[in-house]
Amino acid sequence: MVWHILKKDVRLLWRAAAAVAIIHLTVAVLRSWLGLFPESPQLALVAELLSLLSLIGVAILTLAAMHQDAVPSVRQDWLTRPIKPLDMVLAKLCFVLLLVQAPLFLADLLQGLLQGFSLPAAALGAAVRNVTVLCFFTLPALVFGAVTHSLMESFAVAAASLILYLAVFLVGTVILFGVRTSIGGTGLSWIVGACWGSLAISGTAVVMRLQFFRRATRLSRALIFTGGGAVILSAFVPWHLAFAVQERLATDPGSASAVKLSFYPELGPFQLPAGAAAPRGTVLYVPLRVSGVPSSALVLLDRATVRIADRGGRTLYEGRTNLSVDGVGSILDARLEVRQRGETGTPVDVHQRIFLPAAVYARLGDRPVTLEIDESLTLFRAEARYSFPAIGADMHIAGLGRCATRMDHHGVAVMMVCANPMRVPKCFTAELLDSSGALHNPESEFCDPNYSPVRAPLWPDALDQLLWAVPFFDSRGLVHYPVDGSKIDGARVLLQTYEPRDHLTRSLTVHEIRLADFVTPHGI
Amino acid sequence: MIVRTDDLHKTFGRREALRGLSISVEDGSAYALIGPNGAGKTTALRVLMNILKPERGSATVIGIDSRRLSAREFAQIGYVSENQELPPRLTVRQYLGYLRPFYTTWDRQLEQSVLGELRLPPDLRIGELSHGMRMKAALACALPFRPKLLVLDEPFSGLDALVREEFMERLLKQAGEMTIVISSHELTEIEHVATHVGFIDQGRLLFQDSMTELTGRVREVRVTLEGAVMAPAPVPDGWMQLTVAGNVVSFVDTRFSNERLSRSVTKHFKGVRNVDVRPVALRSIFTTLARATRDGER
Repeated sequence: MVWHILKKDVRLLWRAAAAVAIIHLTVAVLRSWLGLFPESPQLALVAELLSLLSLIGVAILTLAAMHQDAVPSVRQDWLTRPIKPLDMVLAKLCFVLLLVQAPLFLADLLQGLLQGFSLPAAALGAAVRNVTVLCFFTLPALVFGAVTHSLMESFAVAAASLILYLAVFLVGTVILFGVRTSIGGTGLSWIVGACWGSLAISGTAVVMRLQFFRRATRLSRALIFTGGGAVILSAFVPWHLAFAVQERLATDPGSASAVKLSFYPELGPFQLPAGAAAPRGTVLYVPLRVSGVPSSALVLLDRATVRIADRGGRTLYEGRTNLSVDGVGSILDARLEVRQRGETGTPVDVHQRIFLPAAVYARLGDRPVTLEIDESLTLFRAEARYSFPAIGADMHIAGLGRCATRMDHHGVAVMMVCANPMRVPKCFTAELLDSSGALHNPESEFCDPNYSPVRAPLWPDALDQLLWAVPFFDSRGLVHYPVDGSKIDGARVLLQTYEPRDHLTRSLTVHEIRLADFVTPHGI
Repeated sequence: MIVRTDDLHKTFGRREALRGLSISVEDGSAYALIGPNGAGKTTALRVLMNILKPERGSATVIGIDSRRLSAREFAQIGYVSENQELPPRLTVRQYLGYLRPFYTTWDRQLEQSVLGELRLPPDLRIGELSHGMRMKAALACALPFRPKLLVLDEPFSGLDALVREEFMERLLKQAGEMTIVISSHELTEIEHVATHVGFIDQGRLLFQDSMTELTGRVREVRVTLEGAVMAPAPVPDGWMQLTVAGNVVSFVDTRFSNERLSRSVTKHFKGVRNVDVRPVALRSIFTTLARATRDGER
């Protein structure tokens, strides 16, 4: 009877399903037609809004399918008909797969093919997005539809949940009490998404069983509420626990075991580069020597917990540096990046920036204290090098995807964009080489680490994108680029990608340190 | 017994809708569940249909615990309720076509005849039908599979006289081949179909009886005396709505038998000139009992 129930739902909802499918298709065609560098920002915006609309359509269509045979109602005719609950559940799942998910898959596949990707690559990319949308939109809508009996009720509950979330979590917890998430803004933030996804799958199985076989609406609603809370709480998972999970997922475990950190005062005070803007607030520059970094590798700080104690070991200050302190600085400001440019084993000396609240510095700056830093780090290895024309490129590069380049509107940088149904690199350096290859500009680097073992593209389409500007002219005149505007014709972009291999934790303790000796005058 | 409930309890928040309801419905009977508004009739029927679950007590329907009713049992049960939500965007014909494969006993000829007799427009969407038409559509979807048990929850509510008539006519045609459990305020209609009556108030069964027994033991009695009379005190057991006007005493005897009445009249009144005994319509029985219950509560 599964097919029979499905036919009824299709008869009732085919127009809505067709409308959503048309939106998917429009997005696919429009985004392909706009290309990697959309000429019309307005059309690009329309495409993005349509993509958002198509996801909303996915949720509404799923809800509507569920409400055709609502479970919580006491008035629905089907409740007293000889319809097996399992048939009903399977019919709803079939509807979701055939009329909600399949059109999205086909649209994403079409977009991949229109962008010139091979059928397997486009199909894989479309499938990955399909699973993501299923986990993040469709299954939650399915569950929501199973515990409500009308769209209006669903919207009301969704709005109430949103208000509750904003009021309790954002305003109450984050703004009023200053509670910060532990993994937000780091490469580990995918854990929240993974919790959502796994809860969506297991929650769907549990709620569908409870609703269709026991009609336990109150219990199902309580479970959904608890699940929602668990997803929010997953952002507050203790850092060490989250990082331990990440360490277990390392692609090359043990490769960073030789990396060591030590306090290295001989490096001297930090000198702000000429012309560089001083960071706001009080910044401590701790000189470090990092050894054991393999060649062509870099070590990136994910988070550092800083503790300042007096001689007796009493904590005077405790903070962390992956996020700004007192609203000063940013994630990038607090970054510690150790790059091995020599052979394996060559020590690398760096200054680690630590933002201190002004009041803490005023209190502790001139007295000897103990500084303890717990570092959570990730080792990246150079992965691949790509070279392509700096201007006018639009080509498929194996391993990187479809890449295009052009000069930016101000004529000071090369814009490059790469799209791939698979993953594009999240950490890379890019430099410009002149046509002879003799001259090259300083590297510009980008790293927005995401250590997720799987890609989860949700919006606006199935393609992962890399977008970066490689400068060749500094309008302030502070930096001179060998490959400037006059040599840009025939110049090439050299892209070096890095992939995370291993995660490591290191602790550093410095006794009898006087903070004032390591704070740059610029920073005060 | 095709339906049996034992000490059913169901609460909504603080309100107790069912407080130990126990009823039994014989196979082949037409059982009318009557009672004032809020008595718990709809809740009781919803528990029977496993739409609601009781907190305490048990209900068996076709020999199965109502909480375990499955597709096999529902294939033998028709349910029509004034609040029933049929798919509004399907036409009557489409919905009948959708339901057909779920029932192995579906009779297409009967379906056609029901459609015709109820004068249902088969190609109109259910959502476009009037309330009366929707009720007829619900009945049309409950009869063609020849249910063993037909449960009707306030089926006449909001129907005009003509629709009610058509509804009843159709129902009566099949009444002999199934058990009917019907809750309704429309006692005039019920009277034609019910073989048994259960009176429920505030979630409890006050009595249940066969119609023959009930109408046989309830009589309106009018005693005319030779002179003025005082009302007997205490009022004899089973006499209700006793009124005295001059030399006439009127009451409803709910435990009527010729011998018992003449014994009581002789005992309580002197100079009896005439005793007029009349059968009582179900409606009057209901109102008499309902008033008595209400007065008793006070």
